[in-house]
Amino acid sequence: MKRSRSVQLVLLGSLAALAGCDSGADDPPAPPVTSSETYTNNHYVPGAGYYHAHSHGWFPFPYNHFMSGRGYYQGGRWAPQPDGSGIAASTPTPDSARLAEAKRQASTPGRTSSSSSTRRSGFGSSSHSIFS
Amino acid sequence: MHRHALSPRPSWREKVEQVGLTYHTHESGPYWDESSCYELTDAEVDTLEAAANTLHELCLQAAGAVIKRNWWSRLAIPDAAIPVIKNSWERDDFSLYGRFDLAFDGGAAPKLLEYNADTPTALVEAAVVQWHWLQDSFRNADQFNSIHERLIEAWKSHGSGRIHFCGVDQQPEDEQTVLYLQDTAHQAGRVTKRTTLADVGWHEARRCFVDQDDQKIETAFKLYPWEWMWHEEFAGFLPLETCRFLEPAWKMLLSNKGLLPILWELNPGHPNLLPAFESPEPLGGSFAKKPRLSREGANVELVENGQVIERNEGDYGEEGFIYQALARIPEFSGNRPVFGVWMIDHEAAGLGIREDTRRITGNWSRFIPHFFQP
Repeated sequence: MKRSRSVQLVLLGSLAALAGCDSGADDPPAPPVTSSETYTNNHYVPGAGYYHAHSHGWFPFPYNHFMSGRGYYQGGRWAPQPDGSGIAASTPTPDSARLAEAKRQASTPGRTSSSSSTRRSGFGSSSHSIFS
Repeated sequence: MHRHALSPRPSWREKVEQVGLTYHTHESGPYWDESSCYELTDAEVDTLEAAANTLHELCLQAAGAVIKRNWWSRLAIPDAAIPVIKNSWERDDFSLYGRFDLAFDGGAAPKLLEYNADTPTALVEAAVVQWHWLQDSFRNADQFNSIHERLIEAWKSHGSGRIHFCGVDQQPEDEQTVLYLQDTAHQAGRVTKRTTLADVGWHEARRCFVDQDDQKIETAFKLYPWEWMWHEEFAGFLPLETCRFLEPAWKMLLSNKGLLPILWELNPGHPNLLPAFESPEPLGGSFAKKPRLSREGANVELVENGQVIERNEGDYGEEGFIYQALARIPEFSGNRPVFGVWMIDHEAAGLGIREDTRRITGNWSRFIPHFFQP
């Protein structure tokens, strides 16, 4: 058996999902994520995504996010029907809290705002197609 | 090896788009083409896998020889890049992936056409799209494809810091390839951040590369060839080595077709190599003339018995050419497949087949899914 047992995608297929991975320099900093904190369903943490209270972790799409051809996003999986149950707030697992906090920190704007001391566009001018 | 004609799945466009292949159709027809597929035998898959693993070892040995014998000019490596390459080689900087393009007819040993070792694409279709096609079309069959899992494992195994993912924007193939690799790193638990090459900055005070938010870039996956970077404005900062790039600088040695004559010189008569030289004379009147650095078959010329039988235009060739014996490419109803074997973290991990009615694989060559019966 040489094939993958499972090929699941989290980011690919929706560029919008990357909003959770990038950051805007002007956003106020989000508070640190901890496993002792209780979070409501779909609580958003920049860089980590949306908290799915049933799954005790953060995901790139909101809970019950609908995408044509895939269904409703719930805890990293696509379901054919939306979950209409009332979803109570919960606490994240220590691992998911740690990962979300790392991602939040990574997405926090740097202390130095983009300034005259930063030069840009020094790469990317050889505009062939990269395809190889 | 068999090529089967198939009816494409209903709504195949929507299906492939849902898993990231937004560039499935060129203006001249489909790029992702499931109106046919290839069936391989278990033994043929083993042969391709073994050949790729062998070739990778040979390439590493050849790269070591380039460094040891100072054969830099044979690869047209810029002087400024040499210490950076040597340092990355000595550190054994992590290499994520590469793709061998092989000629294979199911009988004779696969032959190396080239090694796309720096910025290989056609990854989403090989790793993801054809896997989903298999689930829909030949659920009980197997496929030489553990690329996705191996990528995730590779990210888990090497390093723990944040990775910036950089590519050229406004190019769907590039954007989706970068996004897919970011996806696999994300699934491996790595902290990732997306930027574009145009947004990469050099911070004068901190003396480091920074992203759009002026955050330091410590590790960057870049879908952008090293040889271009060395000719651009920020090239002067690369020798400072403030950032680890993926692929690492030492992959410049493997992605260069100048390595083909070196491989042949070091391993004459090897069954997985085609004779290759730095001049055409040893090959008589029949050879493939290839630029040391080019992509998608650009500026490749095929000569048979002294006559040019096929030529691709392009703007490569400044670094010179090498000459390789013509490969025997099998033909199926006028279509010629080339077998792209993916290397993930130094091991063969999957296969993507592209075919064309022309002899030179180019931008318009179609991706054809495959399966085999275990």
